[in-house]
Amino acid sequence: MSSYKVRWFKDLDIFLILVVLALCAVSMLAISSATHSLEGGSKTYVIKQVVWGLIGLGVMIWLVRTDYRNLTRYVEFGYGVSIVLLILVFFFERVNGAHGWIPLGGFALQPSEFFKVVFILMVAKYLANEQEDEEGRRADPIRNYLFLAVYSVLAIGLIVVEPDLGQTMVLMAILAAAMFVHLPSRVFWTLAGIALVVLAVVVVAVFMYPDQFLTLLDTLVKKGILAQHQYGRFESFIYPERDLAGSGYQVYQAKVAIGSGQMFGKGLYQGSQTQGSWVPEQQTDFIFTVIGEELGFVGSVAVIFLFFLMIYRIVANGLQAGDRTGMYICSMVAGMFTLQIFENIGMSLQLMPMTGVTLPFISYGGSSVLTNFMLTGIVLNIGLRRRKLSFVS
Amino acid sequence: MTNLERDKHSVTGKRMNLMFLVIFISLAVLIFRLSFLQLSQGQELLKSAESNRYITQSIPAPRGLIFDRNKSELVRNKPAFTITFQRLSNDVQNPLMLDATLYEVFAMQPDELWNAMDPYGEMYSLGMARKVVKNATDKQVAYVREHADELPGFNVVVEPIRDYVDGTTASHVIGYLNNIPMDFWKEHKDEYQQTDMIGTAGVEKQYENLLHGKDGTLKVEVNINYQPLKDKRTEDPVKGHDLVLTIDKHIQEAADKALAKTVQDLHRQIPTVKEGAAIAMNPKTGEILSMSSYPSFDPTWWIDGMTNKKYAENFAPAEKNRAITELYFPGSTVKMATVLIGMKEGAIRDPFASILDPGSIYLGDKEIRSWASNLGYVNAYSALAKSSNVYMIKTFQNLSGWRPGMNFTQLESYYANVMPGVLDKIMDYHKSLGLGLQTTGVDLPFENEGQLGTERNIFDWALASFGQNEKYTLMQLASYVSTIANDGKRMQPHVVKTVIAPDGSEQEVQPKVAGETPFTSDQLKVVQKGMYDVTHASYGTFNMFANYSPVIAGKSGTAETGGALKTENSLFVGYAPYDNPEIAVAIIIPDNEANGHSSTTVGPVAKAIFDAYFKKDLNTDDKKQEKP
Repeated sequence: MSSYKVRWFKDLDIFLILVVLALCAVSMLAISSATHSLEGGSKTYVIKQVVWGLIGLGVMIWLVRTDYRNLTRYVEFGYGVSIVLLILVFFFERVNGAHGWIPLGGFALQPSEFFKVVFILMVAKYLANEQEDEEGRRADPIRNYLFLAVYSVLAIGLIVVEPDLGQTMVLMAILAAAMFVHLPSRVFWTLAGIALVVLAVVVVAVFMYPDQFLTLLDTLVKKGILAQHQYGRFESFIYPERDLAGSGYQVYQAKVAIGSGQMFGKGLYQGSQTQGSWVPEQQTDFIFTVIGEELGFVGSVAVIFLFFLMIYRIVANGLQAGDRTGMYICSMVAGMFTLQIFENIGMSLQLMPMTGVTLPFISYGGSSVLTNFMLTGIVLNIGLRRRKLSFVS
Repeated sequence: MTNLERDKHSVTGKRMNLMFLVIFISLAVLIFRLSFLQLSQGQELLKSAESNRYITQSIPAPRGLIFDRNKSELVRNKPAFTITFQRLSNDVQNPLMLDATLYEVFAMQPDELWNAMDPYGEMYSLGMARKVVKNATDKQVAYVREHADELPGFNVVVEPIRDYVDGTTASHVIGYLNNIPMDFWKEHKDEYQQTDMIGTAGVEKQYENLLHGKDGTLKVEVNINYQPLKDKRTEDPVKGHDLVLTIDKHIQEAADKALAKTVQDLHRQIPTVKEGAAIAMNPKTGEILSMSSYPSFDPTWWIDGMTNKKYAENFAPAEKNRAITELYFPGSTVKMATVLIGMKEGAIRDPFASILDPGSIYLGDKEIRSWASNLGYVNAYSALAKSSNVYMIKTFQNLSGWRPGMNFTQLESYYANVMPGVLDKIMDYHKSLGLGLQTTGVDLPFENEGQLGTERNIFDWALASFGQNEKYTLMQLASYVSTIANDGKRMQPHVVKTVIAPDGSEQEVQPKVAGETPFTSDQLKVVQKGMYDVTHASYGTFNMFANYSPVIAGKSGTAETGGALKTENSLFVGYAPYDNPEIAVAIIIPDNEANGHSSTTVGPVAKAIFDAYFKKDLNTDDKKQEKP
């Protein structure tokens, strides 16, 4: 294993940190506007978010200083704690119909958020299989896969039961990202081909033949294969206008908010949809409607570009990682963020079905911000301990 | 690093680059979709956002006021409380529970209140506040205000409502408001709220488009719970036009009072007498000075809310404006027309020439009686003064082409070929005098036109000569006597004198000539003198006004109603002053006793109207006040 020396100012990815801070700044503005007309004003929301951001920064710095390989060493312990927390949530009241939160006085913890960090480290550790025992032997890969499968099924199962479809999707995306870089070529290309075909079929069905698609689903309902509420979900996704009294309402209002922003937006605090709170959850899951309405196409594209830069830096750090564990971690972090961005913005644009997934660094919420900073810290950590050009082999 | 390790590294690196490409494409898809929504659909979605943004409340325009000719207020507006309901989201409002809480407070049935609240937008758009209780009581207002926190969506607003200052006075001319009919509202959604009241009778209906004004709108920016946010955009309401009526409140009140008292007094002796009507108008201009119809109603009943009981007992009998909707045989009041037609057609060659009225006449084997057994010799003047039927029948017999002793074939031919033309001729003359098959064109809704005899008897012309063949409205009779008084120039009757626009500019309604009679002024003078004799000659049938100053000319009438009860309608038409007419009147009290005398029945009403017009009633009041 190549040796390296931590050179803080030369190797720390300042650019990534700046991009993340820029996203946090956008977040403050958007949250402030989204909560502007609420009773009591936006002050408490913004202050809370700032506090969580600062805590996140602190945790990030601590994580940068700690070698990520030491983190993976104790990941089973983190996993154990997570499982306890994920079971604990069932003893507290539902929020928006799901057991996802543990209230702690003034704020609430969302264990499934933090579990994402543990999960990424664990997947990386077991897939890269770079640990050696005292005698320098590596574990049997099959045994690693088995362990990983059991751990994953248990945790994801708990989150499915909460039920938290959004977080489940995120965890699946993390696994998918890991597989994307890990699988042997033949398996990878086979799966990629299948995935492409499925994607193409779904896109064509939903966006080009919506009525025929719904008729097909309706027959499935009649045959008892699909539940009525599942059908409803598809229908309100394809035609939100038909179900304004139900779940279509939010999607419709989100679309109206973003679309009405047009090229340059209505100006911060000036969006009627935002100020009238027409889009439920506009400071959390639907925060992109605030950006779309008040900052317009220009502002929205700028935000997406910031995300692009962020992911670019994460991937770049991964490419230079000193080992495959680092590469895997960066890939999973990049995949996770991409999924969240695509799903979150996509549902506001009526491109994706509605699920509760936050927009990284921008949505209001402590657990989510903290998790994002932790992952950024780990990526920076990997970047610091990059592979040096080695002239020896 | 081993080779294997390096291979794995490079594979992972390649995959990461590939993944980055996928990520890049995903973000590009987002931007593509974004450009579709914001750039190509933006304009349309902006409209949706704007329609979300505001709720529109209507600010009712104050309805135009109504004055009498001396600018005394007859109808004004007063502020009243209206309880409104605004549908909010289900999170903050439970309509079912609100209904259960409130229906008793509002004295409504649960389903009645539910329909008024319309929580699911079946009738009204969801953004619109519905008027649930109009003219709410203080108690209801207090309840809603005290429990505001528990009644989300309910609100109390102040709205102008109609205030009919003098209750029943001139109510048939003024009319009333009622809920807007659904069909009408559907065609006028821009001008009216579904909860509006609309003119339903009288001037309130006739001039609805002027009185209504234009409602303002209050555009309130709201949030998802329809709670108002900062700015409001308003469009000010435009007040309706005010109307100055030709009605003189003083005369109207005198006429109403006299008519009511006379009918009530008569009713005590003769139970069939239940109603009456009286019109006073200026024969030179057509301005209606008063129009009474008994029984009368108070338009306020509709504002306060009409109960079924009140409707059946009080409103329904009073609903008709008997002065313009009901048809009556005019009886002897039509005789001036008969004399005029006779002179014009040469049937009366010399108005001074006398014939004997023995009290009855035979047409074939049918005997027709005058009202008295023997009226002696009568000429055109005294035939009017004494109200001779025989003279009138003979006059029309001269122009009818019918001769005594015609055989059956001759009669048949006469009936088929001659008689219709005779009747048509008579009707044409009637029409020129304001009678006949026509309305007078008075600016009031629901006016009826005259009705011709329906039986088509061979002697219809004879019945027509003394007013027992056609039926006319009292308005037609008023127009007719005015035309005679105005020397043959028929003025169109009207009740609105001036229209005052919201900006204060006044527009006078100009007198309009409806037509001229074909009679010469000499011929008209004959019947005018005849009418003078009616009220002045010792043998005049209505000489109670003999010593009245200024001079009144007139003609009484009693007409058989033809009903099973053998009742008669008492009528009087007349005008004053005789030499320069300013006021013409027409009065009817139907279903009087057979052979009753008009002077005793409609006389007091006529006197009250003339007294009021010539301020004789005020003088006595003044004297009374001066004495002590």
